[in-house]
Amino acid sequence: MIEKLIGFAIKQRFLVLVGLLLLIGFGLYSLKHLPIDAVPDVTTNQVQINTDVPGLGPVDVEKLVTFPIESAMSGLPYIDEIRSLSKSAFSQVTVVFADSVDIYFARQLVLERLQIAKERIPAGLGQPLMGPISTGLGEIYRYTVEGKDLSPMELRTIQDWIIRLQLLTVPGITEVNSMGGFVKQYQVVIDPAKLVSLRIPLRQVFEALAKNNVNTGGAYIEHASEQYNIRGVGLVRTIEDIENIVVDVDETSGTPIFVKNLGNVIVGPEIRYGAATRDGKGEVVAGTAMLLKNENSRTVVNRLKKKLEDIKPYLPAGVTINPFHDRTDLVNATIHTVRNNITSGIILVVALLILLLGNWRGALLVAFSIPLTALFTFSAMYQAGIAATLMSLGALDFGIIVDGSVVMVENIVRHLSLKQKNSDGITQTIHESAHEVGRPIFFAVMIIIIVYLPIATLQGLEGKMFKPMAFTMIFAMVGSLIIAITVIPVLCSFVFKKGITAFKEENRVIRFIKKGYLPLLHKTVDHPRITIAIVAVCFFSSLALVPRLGSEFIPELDEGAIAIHAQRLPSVSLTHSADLLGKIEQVLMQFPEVETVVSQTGRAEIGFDPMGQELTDVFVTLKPRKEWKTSKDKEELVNLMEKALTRIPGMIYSFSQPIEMRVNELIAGIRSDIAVKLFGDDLEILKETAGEIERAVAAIHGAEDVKAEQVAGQPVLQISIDRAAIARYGINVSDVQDVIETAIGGKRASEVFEGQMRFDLIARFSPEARGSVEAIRNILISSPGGVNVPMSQLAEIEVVEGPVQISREHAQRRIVVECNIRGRDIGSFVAEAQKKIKEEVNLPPGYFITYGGQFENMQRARVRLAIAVPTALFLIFVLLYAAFRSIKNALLIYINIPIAATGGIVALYLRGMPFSISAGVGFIILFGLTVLASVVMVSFINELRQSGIPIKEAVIKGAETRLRPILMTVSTDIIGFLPMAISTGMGAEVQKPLATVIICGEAFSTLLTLFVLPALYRWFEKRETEKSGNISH
Amino acid sequence: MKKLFYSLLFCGAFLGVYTDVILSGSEESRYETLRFAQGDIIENVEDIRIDNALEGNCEHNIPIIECDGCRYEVGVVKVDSEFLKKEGMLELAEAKESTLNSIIEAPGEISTNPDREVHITPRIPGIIKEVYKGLGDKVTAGETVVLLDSIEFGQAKSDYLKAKAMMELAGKNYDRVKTLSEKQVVSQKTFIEAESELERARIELRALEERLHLLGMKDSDVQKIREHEEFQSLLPIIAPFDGTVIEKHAVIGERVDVGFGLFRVADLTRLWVWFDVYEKDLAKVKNGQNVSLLVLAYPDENFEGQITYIGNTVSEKTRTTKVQAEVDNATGKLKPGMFVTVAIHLSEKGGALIIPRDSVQSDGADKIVFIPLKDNYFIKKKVLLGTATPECYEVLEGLKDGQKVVTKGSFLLKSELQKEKFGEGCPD
Repeated sequence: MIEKLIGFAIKQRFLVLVGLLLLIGFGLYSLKHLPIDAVPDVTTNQVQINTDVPGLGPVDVEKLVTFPIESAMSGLPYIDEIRSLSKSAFSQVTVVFADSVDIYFARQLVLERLQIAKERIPAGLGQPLMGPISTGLGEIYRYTVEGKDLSPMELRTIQDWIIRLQLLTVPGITEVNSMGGFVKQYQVVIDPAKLVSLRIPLRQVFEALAKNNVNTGGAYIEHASEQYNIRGVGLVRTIEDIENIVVDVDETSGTPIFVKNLGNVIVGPEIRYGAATRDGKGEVVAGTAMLLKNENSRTVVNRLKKKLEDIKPYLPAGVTINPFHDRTDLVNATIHTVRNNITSGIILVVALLILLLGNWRGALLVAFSIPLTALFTFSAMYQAGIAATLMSLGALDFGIIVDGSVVMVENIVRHLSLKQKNSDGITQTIHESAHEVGRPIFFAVMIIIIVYLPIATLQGLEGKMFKPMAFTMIFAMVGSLIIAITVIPVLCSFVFKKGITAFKEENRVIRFIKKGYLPLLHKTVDHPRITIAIVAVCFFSSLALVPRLGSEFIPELDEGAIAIHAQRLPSVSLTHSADLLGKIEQVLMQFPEVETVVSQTGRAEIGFDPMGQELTDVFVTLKPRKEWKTSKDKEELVNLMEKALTRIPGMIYSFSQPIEMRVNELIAGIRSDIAVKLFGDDLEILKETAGEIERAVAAIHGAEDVKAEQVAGQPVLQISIDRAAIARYGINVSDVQDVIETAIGGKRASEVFEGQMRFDLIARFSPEARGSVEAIRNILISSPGGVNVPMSQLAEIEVVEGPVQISREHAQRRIVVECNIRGRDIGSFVAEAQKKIKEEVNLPPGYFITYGGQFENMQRARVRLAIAVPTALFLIFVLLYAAFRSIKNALLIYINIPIAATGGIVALYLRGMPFSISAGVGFIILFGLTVLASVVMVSFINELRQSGIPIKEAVIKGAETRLRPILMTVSTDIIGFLPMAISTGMGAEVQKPLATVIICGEAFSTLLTLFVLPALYRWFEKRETEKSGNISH
Repeated sequence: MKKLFYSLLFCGAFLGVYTDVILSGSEESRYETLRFAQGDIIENVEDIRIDNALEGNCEHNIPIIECDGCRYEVGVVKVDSEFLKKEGMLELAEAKESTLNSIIEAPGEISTNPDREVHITPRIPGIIKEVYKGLGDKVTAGETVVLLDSIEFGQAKSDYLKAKAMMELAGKNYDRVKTLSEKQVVSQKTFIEAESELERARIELRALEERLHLLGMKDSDVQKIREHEEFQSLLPIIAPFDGTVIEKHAVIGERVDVGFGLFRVADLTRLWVWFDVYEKDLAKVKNGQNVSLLVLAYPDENFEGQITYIGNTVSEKTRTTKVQAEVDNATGKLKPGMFVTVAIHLSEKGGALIIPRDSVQSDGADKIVFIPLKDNYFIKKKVLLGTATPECYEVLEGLKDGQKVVTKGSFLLKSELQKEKFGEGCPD
């Protein structure tokens, strides 16, 4: 088949050229449209349902809002998980669908059920809304709106009603979230004393406000052949309009009682649950633009930036929009990294090939295959919907990709140089030499592809992280294979039309190497047992190092910025939080590395992110690396920052990166190694049992950072209505609740329109009348009968500690005890923990425990790999057998595979790197390369033997002839990976371990191929020939 | 080690530091105090036990308060106090003995004192001839406010003068008859008749004079009438006491009947405040307690008064008891009908130990404060609180006079102490 393909290509040279042009064209098109992102998107396929429930505490939010939604969602098809979070005034239900489900279909399913859920939520509590169609990578552009002479409220109005609305028109933007400042609101601040003395119930004020703010239409009338539309204008426009709304008429005197007689009408801030501050200089208004799922962040951000430029002239004087997170920075860095890889790869490969091949045309030809393969890869990625990220492209090494072409070109050049006098049959020679290496190249590349397959079977988080890498690599290999066996021979036939004239038999470098190589080769071939023994010793001693390597599951990709998650006691107030954040920013701004710091505390008015006011995301934008002064790398900077921040007590900081933080928030967020999830009903029992679990786990050797989820600690002013008391006064529970909800909380009565802007009109008691526990005790409740009774006479009012949040999973309340493991393996730790919890923790009936955390992912990956890796190994063997039709040859190469790992293991150990998936990928590539070299070598020796040359000569001759291509491929690989191994830029986290493994591993495995393989070959064959009765002698 | 501990203790004492720690769970008497040589150092038995504990080494074999992992177990936090003070995040205050006022607030309404408010009405019908006062004018007792032209009044006057003339006539007749009777010229009967005639005339005159008095004439007025034989029909209507015209209905030329309210005059220098006291507060309110009023019109001014009456019933409608206080209004700023907030000063408690509200934090069911231990160390201390005012708490147990407590920043210290507890869900 391969032969036919090569033959076809050579015969239909022009067809190949046309195909080549098509490939280049489509490749360029794909490159232009390929989604580029910094990191792969590991967010689960989820639909969030957020409900703002003003005023309600977590327990009631759960009971009245979360539970109806959650129960309506369960039973939907293709669901992986439903989890929920109920916080003060906020409910979030997350429905996680299988990755294969189309997001719009999933949202459709959710929407249908949401209708049912809405009916079950008591009226007026809140409207469940689906979150934006976005992912963890969605927050592509963050900015603050600042203006010197404008108040936070004015800035917020500008953000909400000018900037946000305009940005939402940018294609690809699904949501723009506002945070900080104050949302403008018209407020009727009622003096309760006046209500009491004028005997007006609070309800009446609300009704009056709503009734006196409407526009109506009265269809039309006809008049003198014309048509007049009828419009009743009754909307309030100004504060005076509101003040002059009549609430009641005094029965005795007949004088109207206006709103202004009951209190003041002011423009005030809406109750807020979040704030934003910047650079320690106080509050700002922040905006976050979110990318629609599956959109290209780079193009959308560029569109958005253009839009911002368009808006700028229309903004009030002095208002500036200052970005602090721009995804294109990161994307450009990614592009930069990839471009560097490609260009440095091309340069190095060309230089090396000229040196080793001694033929610059051939070298350029091989180099030409690099952009071709890249274009093929981009086309395939575009078709498969794989984004270009640090993960997918970062690990792409063009040294490996050209291996096939190198072997092909080398062989052609060698053959041509041998037959240079006979210039008639150049095409024929090319065909023959291509034919000679076609099969080995095919099988070797196929084997590399197969070793990637286990990675392609990974699922969940790790799958999303590494699948793009595996697929990109597979595409690249397929591309390089196709190019090596079709395009390269064809191009050779053009380039070497006149044969090779100036080709020296041996260039100096190769001759020099051969001088040292051949004597050593003779020795190893003569003493196979000693050779094998030495290799075995090396291999097994390297295996001994394996347990000493740490392990790391998911690599951390540098996003170039720092995100600090700051946590305070749950009882902290928002104002105090904002003050503290100001201090934190001041501390951070003292670092010369820091460009700007923006903190977002709590959640936005319309929230997607269920953060309480005790949580803050601090975004630290850093200056370019060359301006750094106090620290040399990010790790050091983070350490210094952490140290500086501990001067502000009472806070817990965790350092992360903007995207990483957001992704973690979206994917359940358990980042510890082990999470013991306790399910049950009663919050108190859950809390106590979690405490028991915490103690049990903490006592286990190796447990670190043991923490139980903090569920309590929110002070609640609890107003428990005394039913007997209200019965005596003829007051309904709802009368009291109305007052709590409206008078204290402030309730929306209507809306005030200012052009297209609309602001809530609310009525609320004056701050003195509701601002303290004492004031609330004294609020008068009026019954329909006109009786006024203070709250404290109707209800038990006390400050208690309530839950901060209630998490649910699988329709059960859940509490998590997390811990990390240091200095022992996870498996045994989990086993011990399970045993210990079983023995020591007394689980009440109805309560149960499951185990999760990173360990869950690792275990899942392990199970997958336990099936996939042996399957792949078997497939490799099958392929090898297919290539040689000899079990012995296949086995011979097969044995080389594990032994090749030796160099990689030693390198990891020496560089102090943990065994990560990246390193694992490195090993996989290493195996493939070893196979490639071995296959080429063995097949050549086989060919020599078939032409009648005795074993030893065939082995020596084969090894000698193959020395050059092997050295060429190996040195291109190593040189190609060298920049990665020492790089510190974007993507270095993925590239470093991989490159390290390959460089050292290949150096070792080359020795293996050059010395041990021939020795083994002869040893294997000799025994056989001896057994079969010395036919040749 | 022991030596070091005591020297440390005294150092702390000289700094005015009072270390008093409560470990949870201890039920023994915690506040029994001991006195050391220095007068101002007050330590208690429990403290010494705790200080020993503080001095002790933790499981990591370093002094417990120096150990980042164990310090919190004894309620000690370590912060960079210099830095925090500089940044304005940490402030201290002293617990001090002071007088504590507790108040109840109630909404009220100002009204006039009904004893000092009058409708001025004519006693006889007539036509208003003159009006001397307008709305808001001050009147003094006895001042004429309206001149009424009354036929009845003229009639009464002329009747009086006629009766006076009649009496004079009867008197002359009597004198003549008496002389004649003494001379035995007329009969005894005639004398008696003259005598009774005179008596009748006198009675008549007195009756008519009474009538003038009834119409508001004073003796002097009557005398004037008598002397000047003046029988004009103009009747001056006078103010009964000092006051201010708060209503006026008198219009010149209008005919008014008896009982028509010409003016409403009230004395506004002393006003009443009525306010509602709820059942829950009733026991605390007593006659004679001081009240101060807050009115919307003069938010910065304080008006003082005393409770004069506490209602005897609870209104079925409002479920409150009416309480009345009298308030001085010499300035005239208070106006009847104004809504006021009445603050009733219940009691003044001397010698209460008070601390600023900021300094108190909740720790579960306990109330705690933080007190400085040494440089950067602070320790948590449980306190028992009494009365609360908007600014202060009264400390019943747990602190001593002069003890320094953390005010601003106490929440931070509490957070730092409880840091272990809330580090949930954060990536390490």
